[in-house]
Amino acid sequence: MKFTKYILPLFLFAAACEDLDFPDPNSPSTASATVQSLVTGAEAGMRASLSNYLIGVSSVGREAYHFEPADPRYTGELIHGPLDPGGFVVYSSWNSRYRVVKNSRLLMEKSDDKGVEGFAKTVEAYQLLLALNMQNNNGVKIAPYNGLDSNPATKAEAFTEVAKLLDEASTALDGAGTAFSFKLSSGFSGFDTPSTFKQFNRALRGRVAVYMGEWDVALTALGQSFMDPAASMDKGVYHVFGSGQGDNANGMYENPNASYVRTMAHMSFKTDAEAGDPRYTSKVVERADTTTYDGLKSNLAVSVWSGAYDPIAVVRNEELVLLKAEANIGKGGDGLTEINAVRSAHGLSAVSTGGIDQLLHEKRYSLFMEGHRWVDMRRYSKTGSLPNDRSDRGDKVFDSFPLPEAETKGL
Amino acid sequence: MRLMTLSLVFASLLSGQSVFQGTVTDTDGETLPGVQVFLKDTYVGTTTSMEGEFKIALPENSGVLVFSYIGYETQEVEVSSDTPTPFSVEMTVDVLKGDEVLVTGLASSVKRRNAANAVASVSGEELVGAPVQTLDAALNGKFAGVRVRHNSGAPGGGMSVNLRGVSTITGETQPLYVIDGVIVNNNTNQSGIDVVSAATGAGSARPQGQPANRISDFNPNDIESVEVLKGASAAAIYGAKATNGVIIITTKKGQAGKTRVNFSQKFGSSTVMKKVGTRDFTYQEAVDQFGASVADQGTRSGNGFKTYDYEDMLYGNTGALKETSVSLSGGSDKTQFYLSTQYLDEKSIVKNRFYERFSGRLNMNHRVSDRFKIASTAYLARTKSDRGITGNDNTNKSYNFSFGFTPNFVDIRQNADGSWPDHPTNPSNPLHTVEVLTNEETVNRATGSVSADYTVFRTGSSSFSLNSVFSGDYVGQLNEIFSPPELQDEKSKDNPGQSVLSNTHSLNTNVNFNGVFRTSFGDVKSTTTSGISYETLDWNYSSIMASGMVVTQTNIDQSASTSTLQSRRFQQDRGVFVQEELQVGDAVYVAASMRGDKSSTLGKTDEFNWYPKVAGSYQFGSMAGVFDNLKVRLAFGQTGNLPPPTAKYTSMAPYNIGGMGGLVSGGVAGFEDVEPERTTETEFGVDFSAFDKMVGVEFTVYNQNVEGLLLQVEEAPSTGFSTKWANAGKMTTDGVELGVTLNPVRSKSVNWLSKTTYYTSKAEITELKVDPYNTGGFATFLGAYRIEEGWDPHTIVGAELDANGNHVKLGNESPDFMMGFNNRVSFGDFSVVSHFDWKKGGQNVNLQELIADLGGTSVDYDDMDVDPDGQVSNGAYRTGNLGSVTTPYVQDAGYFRLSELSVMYNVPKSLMGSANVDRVQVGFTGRNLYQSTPYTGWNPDVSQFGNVGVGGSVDTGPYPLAKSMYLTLNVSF
Repeated sequence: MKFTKYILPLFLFAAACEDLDFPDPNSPSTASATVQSLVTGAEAGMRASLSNYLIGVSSVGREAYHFEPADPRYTGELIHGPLDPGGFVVYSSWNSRYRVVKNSRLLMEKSDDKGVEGFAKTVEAYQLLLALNMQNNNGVKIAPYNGLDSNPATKAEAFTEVAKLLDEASTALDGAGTAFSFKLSSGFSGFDTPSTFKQFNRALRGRVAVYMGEWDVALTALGQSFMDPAASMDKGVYHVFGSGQGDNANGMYENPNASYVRTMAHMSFKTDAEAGDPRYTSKVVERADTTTYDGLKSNLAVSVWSGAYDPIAVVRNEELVLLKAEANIGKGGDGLTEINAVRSAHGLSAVSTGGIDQLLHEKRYSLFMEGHRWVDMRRYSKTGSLPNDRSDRGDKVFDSFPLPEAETKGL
Repeated sequence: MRLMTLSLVFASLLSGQSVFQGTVTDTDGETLPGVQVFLKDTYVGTTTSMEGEFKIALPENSGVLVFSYIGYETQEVEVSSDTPTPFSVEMTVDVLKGDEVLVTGLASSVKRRNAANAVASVSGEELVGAPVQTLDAALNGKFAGVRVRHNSGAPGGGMSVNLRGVSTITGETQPLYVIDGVIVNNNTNQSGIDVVSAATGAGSARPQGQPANRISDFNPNDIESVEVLKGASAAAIYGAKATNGVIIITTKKGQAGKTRVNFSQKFGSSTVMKKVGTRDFTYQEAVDQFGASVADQGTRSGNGFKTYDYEDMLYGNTGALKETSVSLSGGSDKTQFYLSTQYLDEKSIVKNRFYERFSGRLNMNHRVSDRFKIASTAYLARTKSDRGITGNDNTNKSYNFSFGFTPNFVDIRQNADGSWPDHPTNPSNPLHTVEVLTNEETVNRATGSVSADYTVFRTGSSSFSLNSVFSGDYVGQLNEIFSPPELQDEKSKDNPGQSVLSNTHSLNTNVNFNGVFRTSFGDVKSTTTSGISYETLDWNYSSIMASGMVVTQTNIDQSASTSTLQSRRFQQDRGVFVQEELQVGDAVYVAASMRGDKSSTLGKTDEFNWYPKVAGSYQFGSMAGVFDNLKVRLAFGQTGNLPPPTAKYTSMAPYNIGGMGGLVSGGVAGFEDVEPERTTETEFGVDFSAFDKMVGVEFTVYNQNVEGLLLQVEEAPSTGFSTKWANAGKMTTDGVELGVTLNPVRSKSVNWLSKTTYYTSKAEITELKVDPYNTGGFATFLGAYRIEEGWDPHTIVGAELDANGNHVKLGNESPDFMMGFNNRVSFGDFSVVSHFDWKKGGQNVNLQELIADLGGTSVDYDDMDVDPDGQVSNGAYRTGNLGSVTTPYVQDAGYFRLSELSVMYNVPKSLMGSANVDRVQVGFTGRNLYQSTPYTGWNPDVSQFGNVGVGGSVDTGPYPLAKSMYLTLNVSF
């Protein structure tokens, strides 16, 4: 009696309880992502591990040391090696770049819109370029991104792919009408329509062509970009930061007067500076105390960024003008017009001798900590002349980061 | 219903024939209070009074009375109208616990002498011989094969309990806790301190905050007994959640008779168990290490400096300990209750850190009729703790990082005007941090259950009963961390000051229905059990991280910027089982069962996964005049381990910019067909007692095979994912357990009981579908764990490669063996209990030493015994070869420890005069009073990554362990 009256209904209750199969309660699936959320995600994701990238290439290029008391790898692996293919120094920027690439691929799967294609391919190309800057001679992975099933593309193949993506994007942008179907952040202010976004695309194409040594292609691309020796040297496209929900701060910024500063410029940035060069005085703060860490010393705190939400350049006019100088030098010229235009913009007197050494000096001071020094020195086989401060430790300057371990073995 | 019961009572009162009374004594003639007296196979029963007397009314005028009392052999006495009244019963001490009743199924039990598995059990009294903060800590050393690890010595715990080694690499590692038949929540909920220390990001899949396990919320003094089902062969009936074993806890119940009151008050103090020391500098060494500007800040003394003992200033606090417990129990024949409350207040070895728990329990049992009984349990607890900031840290803010970067000649003590000096060689001043940074955790917990047993029919040889349990377990946890803006490292930020507020709400519900059919034919007794269970978990965690705090405000809205995080977890599990147990005479016991489980965490949610079990034992009885009893047992069973609920999903993560919401691949490729890990265990054992129970031996060997090892394997990150889930390996574990109980002295005035346990286990990866990889730790050159076919997954590797480019084995985190030595000696009114633990071998990666090396302050920095060439000092060698040589940091973390010591004195009744008390006991107790270890860190037991299966033994400066001493007063009346 009691059984049927009280117990049986409970059995039925238990059996009737809800389904065991339900979607992830925490996050949306790939299928539910919209074009706008993928565009915004790509833009936001480009900033992920950006400080790892900049600290990595700046340390190898001896622009700065990162004195992280809690982690000796910044002054160990990066300065004397060996670079651990399984360590974050090698993989963190790489992983973040390819997550953005994934967004680009998803965008192209989800939309036939020419504007979307132009954005997605430009972003993909830029992300591959950053990976290629680090991995250099070891190459990178390119489409179709099927993991261990494909070998890495060689450096030359990768450059070809990056250039192709940028050119396809450019063509798509030409057919994309007058406005995008999606919104971009203020980092693209002035470059947020298909035609102005194309100027950004061409700027990147100019950089890639210079890296490839295709001087005429570079000059053409730069001509279609927003390069303008008369405009602000800071004009360009930026990664912007904010304190909003899910947003990021500028990971490179540190208060140069704090009791302890981690990222400190290499002392040669002071000794090699021209007297009165504002590009020196504005980009470092000379501290009264010298920081000593792991056998390395510096009293130059980096002050390129002035606040926790200061933007970081993707590409800006100052670089483009110097890229034009470089292309002209590559074609046999001296690049003096552009070099002196940049110097003049900083209130420096004109120089009379151009050529590659002068250009590298200008790029070093104009683009300090923006990720160019090591790449530039390497392209002219000059990494051997970068300083090694701990000869007893066997410090050395690498030309390439290894591929992350997970790209070469796994399931 | 009620009328019927009443009339039954009247009937029994009227027929004088059916009332039996008597006295129960032990073999020395001392009366025994609290002995349970039941009419066999019924709920009709009572308990003996303080004078050992009982009186029981039976529905008929004859029957079999069963007398049982924990620690004594059970007696059955046939009574009839011929039985004299009153009569006396003598009970014998059950030294080797052969009569102990063990839980073997979800609704059935077996006596230990018949059990087919090595089931470890201890009574509540043995469990909390010395005062203990948390329940998991109390389990330490009591069972062969059960390793309790202090991941951190922080107030409120952070324990890892491993039964028979580890059965998983990535999955849940903690055993299932079942209290009074109900699975309870043993989650660890992150405090958010990882955010302040930047050790990992908020919501990391690999948190480092060493949080407390929520089992710690329970009051260990409420425990009547604990049983441990160590492996799959014993735990198969618990199915998909039982791979890590099951800890079955029974709380105290009331007994009919006089209301008994127990009062206990403990006062004590805790101090740091071990100090690591720091380097002494000559002036020149200080200049070489820190430059002249820092060296000149020290006060010169001879070649060196005036020094400050910062380790003592940080960890040298003497924490006051207080514990007050009161319990009442009693009731009538039909209704019994147990009511308890406890207040625990423990200060710590670091100033301002503490743990407090206020708890209450009410257990009620009511017999509605001789066929129907109901019971309820209710437990409420509020705990509060401040765990400070220790362990890994990327901001150099934790006590230990700061300590490693503090040479003992700089003066960072508080200024006379109350301000704090900036630290000259570290971004933060740890003395200031101890003073003002708070990391508080408040937990409200409510656990309750209602159960009912109904006997549907009972004939001469058969019975059928139904049993159901409903329960709920709620945890509300609030974590508040405040790092004030005036701290040195905060001051240097644009948005100084951080406040992190995290809320966790978690509700588990359980519903079980079981049926038990007992019958006998001839010499054979059969018990058939079957049932279903339904379990849900709804877990909701949210955290708000604020920075840029407005002066002294801690409220998260008083800030310049906030970020938020929420994580939810729903889990629905269903199980069905059937079990058959056969007892043939006294000699043979056979059990077989099958359990099926479904879970929402699996790829296929509509299919049952089946877990079988077969086990048997044979008792030879007394033999050769030596053995009192000799038993062999063999058991085989399977259990599962469910994947994390996220493993089957491929999800996007929020990446926002400029106020717009965006999505990027979350980086983890889900496995939509994910299966449970399945453990198959075979266990063989021989148990015997000999020489009139002077010697008892329990010997077990086992083998566990884990299939479908769930690994979060690396994916080529160019696919947009950095890892993916896969059932991609097999592992085997072999182990040996030995327990020896000796009772060499057993006289009326002196009794000495000695228990020694020994166990060891060894794991090996037998199949790996992925390339070998390193896991755990921070980077290979900082010590990592190697997952490779043919290797023990606990193997530590580093930067060192052999000539073929293969990793060199630098160590292994598993101990060679563990031993426990427990001795109880009572003489007259004194009793002394000691417990020693010995962990032989097992290495840690001592990164706290690296931290100190980088800070130039390690205690052996200037010694010359690490460099194989004898050329440079230890500190210079270790830092100079960082990246290529890991060996010096892989260190033996064995120890020999006096974990427990208690000396108790029962005040003789003669001294109490006419005071109306039953027992007064005073004593001294202590924990961790002595330790011998070659390990140079604070805590050889450390696990920086909490309860992970593999890779915990990485030391980044945990909260040091404390030794504690108490004075105890127990009064019963």
